[in-house]
Amino acid sequence: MPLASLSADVSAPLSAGLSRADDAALATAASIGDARAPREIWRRYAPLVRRIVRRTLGPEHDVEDVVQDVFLRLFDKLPGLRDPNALRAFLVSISLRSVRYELRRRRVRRLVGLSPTPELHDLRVVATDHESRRALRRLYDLLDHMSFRERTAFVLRFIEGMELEEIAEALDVSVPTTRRAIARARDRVQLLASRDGLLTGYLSSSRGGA
Amino acid sequence: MGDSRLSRLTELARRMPHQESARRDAASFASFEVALLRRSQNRSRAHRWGAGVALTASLLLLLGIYSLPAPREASSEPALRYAVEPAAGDSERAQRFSFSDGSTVELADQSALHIAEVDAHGARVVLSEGSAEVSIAKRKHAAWQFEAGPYTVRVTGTAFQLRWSEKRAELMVAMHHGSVVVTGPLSPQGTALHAGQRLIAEDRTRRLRVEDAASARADALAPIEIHASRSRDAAALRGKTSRAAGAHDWDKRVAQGDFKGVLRAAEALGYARALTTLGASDLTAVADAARYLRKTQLGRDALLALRERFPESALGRHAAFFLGRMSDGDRALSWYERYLQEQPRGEYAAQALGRSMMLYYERGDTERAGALAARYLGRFPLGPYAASARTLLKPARVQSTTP
Repeated sequence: MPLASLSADVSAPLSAGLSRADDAALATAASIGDARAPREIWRRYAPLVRRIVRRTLGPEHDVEDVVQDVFLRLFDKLPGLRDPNALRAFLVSISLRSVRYELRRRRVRRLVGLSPTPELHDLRVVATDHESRRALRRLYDLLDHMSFRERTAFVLRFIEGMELEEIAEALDVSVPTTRRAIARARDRVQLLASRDGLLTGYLSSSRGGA
Repeated sequence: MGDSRLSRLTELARRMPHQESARRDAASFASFEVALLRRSQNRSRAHRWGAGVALTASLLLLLGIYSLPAPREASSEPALRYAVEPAAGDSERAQRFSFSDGSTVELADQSALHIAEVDAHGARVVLSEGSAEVSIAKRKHAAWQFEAGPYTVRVTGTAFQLRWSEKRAELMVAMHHGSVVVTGPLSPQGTALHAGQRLIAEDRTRRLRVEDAASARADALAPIEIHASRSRDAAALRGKTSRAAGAHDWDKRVAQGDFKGVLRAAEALGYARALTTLGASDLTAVADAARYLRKTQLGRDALLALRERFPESALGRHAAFFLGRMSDGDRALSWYERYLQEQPRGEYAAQALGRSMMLYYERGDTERAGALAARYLGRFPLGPYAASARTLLKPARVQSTTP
C-alpha cells in the first residue's frame, strides 16, 4: 500500500488527538516517532500488560520492571509490526516473551542459590487471609513445575479468560496445539492440587470451598 | 479435583491486585520513558559512531592501512560496586553509599532508599522517603537515575540534594554543581536544572517552581516546559540585536526567570505604549515573558509588533517562528513558511521544517509531508525529525502486508 493511503488512513484520528486514534493509527504514529504515542500506548495497555505479567508470574513479585521491559521491547519491534491493527495481540505476545525470560532468570538464580527475585518483593497483601495467601502461593508453585507453554495457556485461559484463538496467537502456535496445551495444563494442575495437602485442605475448608 | 475446585483456585489468582495507583503508574511510566529516551540516544550515538567508523575505514583503506581497533563492548564492563557505611556526622542512622567510581549517596536520618539496579555506567536509586545528598563522579558515559515518588532525576556528573516527602507528595532538588533533568507528572517533557537552582514540585497543588538558590525569588514560579525552554530561547535571542537607546535590559531579566517582573514593568508603561515604543530586545523580552506565563494574546501581540517594527532584524525574523509555535494548523504552517523564506539558514530552520512536515502529515497531506521530509533529510540528516522523515519517505512496512 502506498504511503498516501497510509497517511490518509491515520490522519483523521491523529488530528483529532491520539486518545481517540484506533490501534492502527496509534501504532503508525509510534513507529514514525510521534512523541505523544508512548504515553497513549502506555495509558491504553499498561493495565492489560500488568495484569498478564502479574497473573503469569504470580504473587510477591514486583512486576513493574517487567512491564517497562515489555513496552521497551514493543518500541524496538514496532517498525516490524506487519499489521498495525494487531497492536494488542503484539503486546500480549511480547508480554509473554518477557515473562518467559523472567521465569528463566528466576530459575537460573534459584539454581545458583540466589534469591529468584533480587529486587524488592511486592509486599502488598494479595489475599486477605493467611490460608488464601498460602494457597495462592502453592498454586504458583505448581505452575513452576509446568512447561512455559502449559503455564501460559493455563493462566491465559483459566485466569485471564482469553479465547482459544487469542491464546494461540499470543503463543504463536496453532489452535489445536493450544487446545491440547490447555487440556494438559488443566489436568496437571488438578492432579498436582489433588495430591497437595495444603490445597485440598484449603479447598475443603468452608472458606476455601465457599 | 473437579472443575469447580479448579475455578476456586483460579479465582484466587484473579483476585490478585493487578492495578497500580496513579502515582506508581506515573513513576513506572517515567522510568520507561527515560529508558526509551536513553535507548534512542544510544542508538543515535551508535549511528554517529558507525558513520564515523565508516568514514575512517574508507580513509584508512585509501591509505593502505587495514587495522582498526575493535569497538569497546559496553556489556563487557563490570558493574559498579558499592558499600554501605555509617555517614559522618551527628546522626547515627544516616548512611553513606560509596560507589566504586567515586560517587556517593548520603542518606539522611529517617530516610529510606534502595539501589534498584547497578551497571557499569551508574545505578538506579529509589528514594522512597526523606533526603539524600548525592555526588556523582564526572565520567564519560555516566548514567544515573534517581527516582522519588513519581519523579525521575537523570544525572551525569553532578552534586545535588534530593528530598521526597511521600506524605506531602513534594519533591525538592537543590543543585550544587553540574546539571540534571527532572521528569514527572508536573514536568512530562523534563526540566533541566543547573548549578545554583532549586526545583520544588508540589503534586497536591500541582505547582512546580524553579528558583535560583541565591535569590529564591517567589515570582520565579513557572510551569516546567516554560523553564525548560527559557534559557535556550533567551540565549538564542540575547545579543542578536543592537540594544536600543533607553533599553531596560528586560531580556536579562527574562534570562534570569523574572517573567512576572518584566510584565509588571511593561504594564506600568502601558502595554499599548510598550508595544509601540520598546526596542527590539525589550519587546522580545515581553513576548517571551508573556509566552512563558501563558499570556498568549500579549505574547502574540508583542511578536507581531516586533515583526512590524523591526522586520529586517534577526529578532523580527525569529518572531515568525515563535508565532508559528503559538498557532495551529494553517496559521502555524504559514508562519513557519515565512520564517523559512526569510531565514532559510536560520537557527530555527530545522525546527520549522520538521514541525511543518509533521503538521502536513497529521492532516493527511502526505505529498507535502514527503517533500518536506526529503528537504529535511537533505539538510539535517541527524536532526531531531530525521527518524520521522525517513519513515515518511520509505514505503511503510506496516501497510505493505495484509493481515
